[in-house]
Amino acid sequence: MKTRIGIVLGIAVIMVALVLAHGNKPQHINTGVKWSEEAAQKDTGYIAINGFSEIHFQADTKAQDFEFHNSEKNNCYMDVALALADGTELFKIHSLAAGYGVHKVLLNQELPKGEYEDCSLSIQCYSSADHTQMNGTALSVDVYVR
Amino acid sequence: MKRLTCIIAAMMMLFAQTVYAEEQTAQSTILYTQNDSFSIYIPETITVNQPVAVQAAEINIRPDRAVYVDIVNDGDYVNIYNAEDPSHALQVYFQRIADGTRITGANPTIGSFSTQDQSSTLDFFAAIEDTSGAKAGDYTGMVTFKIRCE
Repeated sequence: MKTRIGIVLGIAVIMVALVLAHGNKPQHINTGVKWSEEAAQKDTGYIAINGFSEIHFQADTKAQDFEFHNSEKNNCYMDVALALADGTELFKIHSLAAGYGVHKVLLNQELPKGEYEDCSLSIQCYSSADHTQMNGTALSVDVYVR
Repeated sequence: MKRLTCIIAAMMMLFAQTVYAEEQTAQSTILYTQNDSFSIYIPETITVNQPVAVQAAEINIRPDRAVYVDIVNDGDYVNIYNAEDPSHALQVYFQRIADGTRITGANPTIGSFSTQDQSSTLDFFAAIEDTSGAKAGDYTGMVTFKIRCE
């Protein structure tokens, strides 16, 4: 009887530990998550760049909402980095696979309120097949911090 | 006395009028901004002396704006390097097919897209300035396209 109770308690402790461990798993930022469940035919020969002219951030905090994805039609990984006009890098996303994107980023530094013109979102592309570097893009954007 | 009181009360109710409080209204302004968005398709690779195009789709920008695509040049050229001996380089220049003009550091724009011409393409090609004395082998390099909406 005591043995049975001990076994049941032991199993319960293990289950609770597993649940707590899963719940405390740190949320990854600046890494990609699956963007779409729809399968897409790959574009041969072209890299699709989703563009915009403005980015809006909140002042005095590093964690920001920012959506960007690598189209599922692409045949490349992307390294994506945002820099101010003076070259100061604000964040970098490494090896974003085709069909994956981010909803949040963690800045390297907090930004005070203001308008930051002529920032650059650089998108370096690497072949999914052999990781050789392909043509890339620099997207000119203005960053508004409120 | 009671009868008289009831009669007076009934007559008062007959002539009673509903009094409404004066209506007041106020307005608040609702603000929303839909940011510019667009998709640009750049070539994965560019082969020298073969035409290539930049395309656009899903352009949703303010009517007074356009999406411009530039080639980021080091001066007027992009260098490509011998795969087996990177110390050997060749200079590549770019030319617009529409009017035959060169894409230079001073004039780096291939062309532009607006909401009215989403189906157009920006056609250009790459050529090598001077191949004399070039070391045999494959040459590779990368082009960076600068995209701006203004």
